[in-house]
Parts: sequence; structure tokens; C-alpha cells
Amino acid sequence: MNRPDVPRPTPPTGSRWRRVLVVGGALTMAYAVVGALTDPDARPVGMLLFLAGVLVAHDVLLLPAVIGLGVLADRHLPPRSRGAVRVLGLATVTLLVVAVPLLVA
Amino acid sequence: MLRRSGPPVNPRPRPEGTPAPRGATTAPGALIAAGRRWAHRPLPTPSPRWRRGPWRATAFTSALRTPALTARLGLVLAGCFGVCLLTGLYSHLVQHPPGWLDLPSRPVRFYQVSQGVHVATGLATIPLLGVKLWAVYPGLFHWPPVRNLAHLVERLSVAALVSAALFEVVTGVFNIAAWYAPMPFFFPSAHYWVAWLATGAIVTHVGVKLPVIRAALRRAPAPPTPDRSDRRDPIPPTGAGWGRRGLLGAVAASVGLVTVTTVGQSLPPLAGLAVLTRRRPGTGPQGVPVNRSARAAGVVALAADSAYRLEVAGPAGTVRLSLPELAALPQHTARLPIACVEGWSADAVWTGVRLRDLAALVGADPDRSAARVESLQPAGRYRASELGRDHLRDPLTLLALRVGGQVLHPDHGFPCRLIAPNRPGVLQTKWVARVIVRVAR
Repeated sequence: MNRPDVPRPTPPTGSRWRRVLVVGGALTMAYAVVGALTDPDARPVGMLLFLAGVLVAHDVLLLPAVIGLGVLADRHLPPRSRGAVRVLGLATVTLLVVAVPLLVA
Repeated sequence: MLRRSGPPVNPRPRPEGTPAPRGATTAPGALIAAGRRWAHRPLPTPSPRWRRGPWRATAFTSALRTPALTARLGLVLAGCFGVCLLTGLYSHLVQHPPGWLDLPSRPVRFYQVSQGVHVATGLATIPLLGVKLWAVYPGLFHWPPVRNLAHLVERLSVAALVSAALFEVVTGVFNIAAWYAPMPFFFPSAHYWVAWLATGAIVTHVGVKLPVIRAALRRAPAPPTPDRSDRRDPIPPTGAGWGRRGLLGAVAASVGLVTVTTVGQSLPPLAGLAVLTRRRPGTGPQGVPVNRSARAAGVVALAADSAYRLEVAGPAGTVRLSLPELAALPQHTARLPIACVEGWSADAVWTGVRLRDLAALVGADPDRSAARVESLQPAGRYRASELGRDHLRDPLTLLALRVGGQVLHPDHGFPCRLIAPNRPGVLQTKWVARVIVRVAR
């Protein structure tokens, strides 16, 4: 970024790709923000609340709870059954994510 | 400045320490270099006394959290988000067509398939995203929390990424469940704009992590875990007897399970297994599901009124047709799906008047016209819909009076409804009161 732009005879290097991705991604995010702020249907404050809400709900509640249950399972279950319990656990959480809103709605 | 905020991210020597080439001696070059130094100036590290709980170096013990796992899950997730973005953009385009674009009415099932794929792919991301976030969770408790300003920006961009990805999955699931109460916004707009936020955040994230991703994917998938022996780790690892393969197997099983219990909402052979859906083919009045009933739309009395006349307006004037007059016009039958944006769809056999015949009736050229179709509904976002030239001239586009041979149930749009190929359900206007035909562009 501190080099002036030279014609570009060289093939794109790794760092050039990274620059394109980072800048392109940042511009896309900016487009999303401007779009949400100017769309009369979007309600940006509500969106921001929900964005923060899902982040907190996942990182502070759901994931620690799942990790905690995993630790408990490791401590108290016989080694042979742990794998099966983990498969069941992941499948159960996945189905609950779909089922709970259906039941509540 | 995002791109080089962490030692593991960019293992190459930093170029700013090296003597700058010509460019840096100019004013803008010097300014950029100064800005960069400022962004990378170390910030004070909090006292180690604060390093407790999840911030401890030994807090997370699973040997399964590796860049190899993260990179692979990330790759699959990026693919899923890509599919959802494209299919979602298509749906957005269909519902907000730009003036210069005449969307095709064929293939008949294109909208139905694209939205079935959108919802199925979105649901499949639930376990993928869950395990991906589990794998990188220790990164949330990085110590020190912020090394410098560039690091702070990188962390904020990761927060935007996680938040936007969760937002898309959660609002999508809520929408399928028709649970609108917890969403303080209009779902389609919010889901659309946050999709762009997620896309931008993913692209930026891939750019930032590119060296790590490359290294992780280049290394042989090497399961150092034919289980039970990850001894290189100084901390006794948890997750023994499990292994990356086991974890990926669990993810695959969860994806399979959520797919099998939902995909029947648009795939009739699996309808019996679709226990986690609201609408299934074969259910509802006359064997076809309904989203908005006549009662919900407030049209029960209006639709039953014997004074009903369909008003068709065009270049040659306006005609008003009673229901018997409509039924006396040439009738045509078409097998077309109702394809909801919420992912469910169902086929039905519709019988009624071709819209192109009605256009001809009011003096319009059916091959060069567009139309606006209005409902008896007194209000509502979807009380009217626009039909482009391609849809209006399509012989499969009907104002249907019957479904499956029976007079339409009020919930299906009695006295008559629009049904057209390759079109979302919300635009298949029910309880049609008025058709306004005009010259296309």
C-alpha cells in the first residue's frame, strides 16, 4: 500500500490478493450500511439491536452452555459413549434451533 | 491496515521497517506510513491479574480446534453463503425488478427450485456455523484483548462477520417459522442488507486470514487423531476418542437430519418426514397450502359479494366481467407451483382465463404489454403485483377460477386469482379485483 501504483506487469502476488479482498469486502460492508440506512423499510436501529442480540445470545449464552455440557459429558460418561453423545448433542442443538421458533410462533 | 494485525496472520517480515522506496518520500507516502505506524503502535497491556476465566491460556483444551478444521469448515460455509447470496439476490430481483430488466417466465420451476435451495442451504449452515464458531471461540478471549488500533479494527470486523452470519441464519429460521414478533424490522429488507454485510465481512475475513487458510489447506488433511493420542499438546487435551473425522461426521449427520426434516416442504416425496415445517404439499384447503387466508386479508365479505365484477382496463377502455362471464371465456388448464419465499412450495392444477386473452379483450397487444394486478384486499404490502411482458404473454399465465377442478376456496383467492410460471407466491395475487394492462415500456 505504501508503493505507488506501477503499471502491473507482474502476476498478482498473495499480498495483492489480500489487499483486493480486504478493500472489496470493506466497500461491500459500507454498501450494506448505507443501504440499510437509506431503505425506508429496513429500520436500522432494530437491525442493530438484533445484530447485537444474536451475538450476545450465541457467544455469552448458547456456546458457553454447550461447551459446559461437553465438559460435563467428558467427566461423567464412559469414554466409549462420548462420541455418540457428542453426535447426538450437535444434532439436537441443530434441530432445536429450527424447532423452537416453530413451536413458539 | 486490517491485513497485518496479528503475528499468526502475517508471518512475513513487516515491510514498514525497511527503507521505503521512492514513493514514501512523497507527502502522501509519508502520511500513509505515519498512519500505519500510528495504527500499529502498541497499546498498554492490562495487568495479568485480569487474565482470568476464559482469558487464561489454559482455558480451552480441545485438541480439535485447529486451523485445519477451521479452514475446512470456513470453506464449506463460504460456499453455502455464496449459494444463499445468489438465490436470495435472485428472489430480491424478482420482487424489486429494475425497469430495464424483463424477467423471464421460464423455466417454470426456476423460482421454486432456487428458493428451495436457498432455504435448504441456509438450514444446513446451522451446524456448520455452530461448529466453526466453536472452533474459533478461544479467539474471542485473546490476550491482550487489543494489541493496537489495527488489531481493534480486525476484531471489530470479526464481530461484524459473526453477528451478520448469525443474524442471517436466525432471521431466516424465524421467517420460516412465521415468528415475526422478535424481529424489530421488515424481514425481507433487513435480511437483504445484512446479507451484503455478511458477504463483505466474509470477503474481508478471507483476505485477512489468507496466509493461515493457505497454510492450513496445503497441509495434508492429516488426521493426527486416529484418536486417543494427541500427546504433543502440553495440556491434556479433551475430546479424545473423537477426532476431527468424528466431529465432521457429526456435522454431516446434523446437516442430513435438518435437511430430511425440512426439505419435504418443497419435495413431495419427503413431505411425510417434514416435521419441522409449517407448510407441506398436500395440506391446506383443496390440498394446497395457504399463507394468507381470506380472513387474515380481510376480504371474506368482499369476495363473497354477488355484485363482484372483474375490472380489466386497457388501451381500448375498461370492461367489467361477472364470474359467469369470466367462466364463459375460453378456459385453460396449467399445472403450476405456488412457491413461497419461505421455502415451501406445492403443485396444483389451475383452470381459468389466460391473461393474454384478457389483454386482447381490452385492445392491448398481448405480446407487447405489461399489467398491474390488484386485489380486493383493502390494504397490505402485497395487495397488488406487476406482471412484466414475458409473464403476461406466457400462455401459462392464468386468472384461475378453479384449482384441482373445484371452484377456488376463499383462501386460494375466490373469485379469481393470478397464477403464473416462475414467480414467487406473494406475487400470485389472490382475490383479483382489477387488471390494468399497459404497453410494455
